[in-house]
Amino acid sequence: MIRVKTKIFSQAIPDYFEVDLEEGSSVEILLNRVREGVARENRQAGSHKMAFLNHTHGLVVLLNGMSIYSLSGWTTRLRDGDEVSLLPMFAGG
Amino acid sequence: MKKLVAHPDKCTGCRSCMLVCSFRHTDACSYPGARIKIVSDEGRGIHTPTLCQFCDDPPCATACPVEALAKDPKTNAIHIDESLCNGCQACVGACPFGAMFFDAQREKAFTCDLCQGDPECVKICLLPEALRYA
Amino acid sequence: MRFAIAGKILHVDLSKEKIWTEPVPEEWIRKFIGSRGINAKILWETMKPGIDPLSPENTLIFGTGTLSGTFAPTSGRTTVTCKSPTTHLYLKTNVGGHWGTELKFAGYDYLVVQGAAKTPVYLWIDNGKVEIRDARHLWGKDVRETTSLLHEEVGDSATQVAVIGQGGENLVFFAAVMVSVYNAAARGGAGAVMGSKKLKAVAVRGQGSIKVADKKEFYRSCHVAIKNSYEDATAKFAHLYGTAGSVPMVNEARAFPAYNFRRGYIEGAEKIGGPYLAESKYLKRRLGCNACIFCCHRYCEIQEGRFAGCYTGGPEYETISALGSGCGSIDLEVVIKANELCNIYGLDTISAGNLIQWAMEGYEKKIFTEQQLGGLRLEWGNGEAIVELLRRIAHREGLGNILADGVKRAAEKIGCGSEKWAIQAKGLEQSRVETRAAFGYALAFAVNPRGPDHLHSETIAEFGTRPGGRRLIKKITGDEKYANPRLMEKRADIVRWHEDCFAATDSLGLCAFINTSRFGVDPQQMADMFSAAIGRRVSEEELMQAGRRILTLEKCFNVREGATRADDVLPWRLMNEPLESLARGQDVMKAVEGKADPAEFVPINSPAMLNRMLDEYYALHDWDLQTSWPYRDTLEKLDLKEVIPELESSGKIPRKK
Repeated sequence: MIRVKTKIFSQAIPDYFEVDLEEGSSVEILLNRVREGVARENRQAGSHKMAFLNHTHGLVVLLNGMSIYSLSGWTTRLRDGDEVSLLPMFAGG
Repeated sequence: MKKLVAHPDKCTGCRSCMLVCSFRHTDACSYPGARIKIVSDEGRGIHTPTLCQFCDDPPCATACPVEALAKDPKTNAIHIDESLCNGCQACVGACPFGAMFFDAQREKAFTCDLCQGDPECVKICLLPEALRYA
Repeated sequence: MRFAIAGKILHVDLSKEKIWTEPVPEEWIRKFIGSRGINAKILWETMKPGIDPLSPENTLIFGTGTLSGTFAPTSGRTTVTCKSPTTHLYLKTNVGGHWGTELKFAGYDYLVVQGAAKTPVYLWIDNGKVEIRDARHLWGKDVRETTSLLHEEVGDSATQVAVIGQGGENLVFFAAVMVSVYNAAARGGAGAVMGSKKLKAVAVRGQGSIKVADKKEFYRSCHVAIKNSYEDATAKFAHLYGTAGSVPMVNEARAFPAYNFRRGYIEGAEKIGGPYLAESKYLKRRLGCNACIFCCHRYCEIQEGRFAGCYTGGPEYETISALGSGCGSIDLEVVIKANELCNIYGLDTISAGNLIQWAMEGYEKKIFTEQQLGGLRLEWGNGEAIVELLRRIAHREGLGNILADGVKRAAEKIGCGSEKWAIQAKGLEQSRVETRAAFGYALAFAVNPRGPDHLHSETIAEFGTRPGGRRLIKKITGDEKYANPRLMEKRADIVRWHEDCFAATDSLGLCAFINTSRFGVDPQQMADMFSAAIGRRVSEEELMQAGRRILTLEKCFNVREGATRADDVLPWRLMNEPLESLARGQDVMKAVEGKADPAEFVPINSPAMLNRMLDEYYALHDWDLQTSWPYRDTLEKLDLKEVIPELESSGKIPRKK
């Protein structure tokens, strides 16, 4: 089993989840596990988060600070202690 | 009948509306040629669109001594008959919103005509949504 | 009347008290487009090498965009150009607001100021009429107060004012020129140049107009650009959260400079980020520069507590990092208050924050005397100290006087090894990008003629976080896999494309965010709007070529001033100390097939790494690898023959081997 820390920025202050997964699980599996967890939460509080989590094309997904698109995308394999952050798309400087 | 309404709390002061309005109605972009004016207090970040309020009983039309001003039944905007307008500017003084303007070169009054029902300013105020036509 | 431009360059010599105009040469529009490009040409023509930037011999140029004064989206940007007092090299600094468009409507595309007045003056440009007026009663007053007073004096509150505060008056090396109160031509000390000329302000009222050649095509091409901008995924977020919206993402990417670039991450950064600010009681309104459709600027007020009464434009991402995380703080009120002070004193927030961070690290290492500190307790995160130190910098008091000369000179003066934590190169403080985490940025920062920042070419696309960015990387390099900031490969190609595009964008008067930070508007669309405006068909190739010509001219200015390859470096810390908060090796190498050594990525801008990228970059440009100077035939091919005689006679045209 591996433990992955997840930070969800569906709102200004992020939510933290610690997720236990099987060895070699992909980022996609992690996302599904997080969605299941949010769905089990209070329906009202969760709906905004669910919409955020379902809008996969509008997400920036960072694994230990790197965009998963610079790695193997959603099939990128996770390791114990990895940190995954999900954010909406922004720009600026 | 659709109404063009300004939401000053959303106005960012970008002046895109003034630039596109003048472009549409004259041969160039300018501030004097615009029928919508943004009045700014830059220090306080307050920007207020000034434009015709499409009054039901327009004081500008009442003030006009030659009956050059009338409501366009299609859009509800003021139509100015330039063949009648004698440049007296009574309408300019009568407008309580300061939204009737005067072209000193052509000696004619002008104001918002809603671009015949497809207002340019609304089309460019996309993100702030400070101008809505509905 | 000419198309797109007002047609005139306004010259003012403050020493001789002379005012005259000349027409904008048509050839300059073809070769250098406008704004930044034509400014660079004027700077080259009017300046001798080696002069003191704070002497009357510096030229201060304000250049409007060729598309400014129209509704082309984001076309309201203006460039201020001069020789920088902090680097003694080329400086262009860009600003939004509404001043540039007002100058064009007044009948002038460029304002060129030479010499220096004996006592403080301001320029009053009232449509065609230009006067030099006494400003002694305004000297010593801040930006906001001066703007109000000038509105009263000229009797028109719609007057646009470009002005310096106490920062520029006191020749702070990172003093800004402020326009429309809160918009800053911030970097490099242009405000100090204006102060050295005793030019307090330039007030403008413009009731003229700007025509375009092909109205129908101009309208069509602008609306294509508007539509594409609006439909880009980030447009809405830019409006809602501003550049401040980037804060959480950059922090999660472990690339958010904190504690003077000692760390790339700070816990709780979201509390100084755009979404948090938008929901807070501080954000009162969103503002926009001239002709912008995004309107990403902020306006904030603090109505209670220790900073009650504070009101200001901002904060931007850079300010938040410079005066927040950089100083070890996640206190939004401190960031807003510090931003207000920088705005009204007229100081660059990036440099100001950098100096305070340097001082905080110095305080931690106990290098200052009690006398220098004058009661300041510069612990990391001490907001009151940040605010007080800004006041002392603007007024050159105590430690503030040392800091006001910029971090390079401050470190030279104080010593104690503090050069190692002076985050500067060429004499300019680095902007808030962790270049040890993004190698395209690292190269871009090292070769930027004004010093290490992101406004010569911002290679956001290399992060690979957005589809538009990945498409752009594929267009430039042939493969999306190069959308990876940890790679050295192809960085030269990526930087060079962005440089060309940025130069063209700046010179048209468009905001650089429109096409290299969001991906809605590409060079073809820019060329379409430009063509319709001026009445001559300009292709994407010609536009990008003009961009290349502009940045090569800027490079030549530096070559003439004595810059060489040795100046294209990054700050000592970033070249010598790795960034601890980043993962190494493994993750990066998953991206690129066939890599032998998984430990190759190290989060550091080492000399070896920089040299490798510089070699590629100079080779791409066809510049000499040893000196970085352009060859003769490079300049000829770019239609820049005019710089050859002077460079040749001072031995600065390298021989090809």
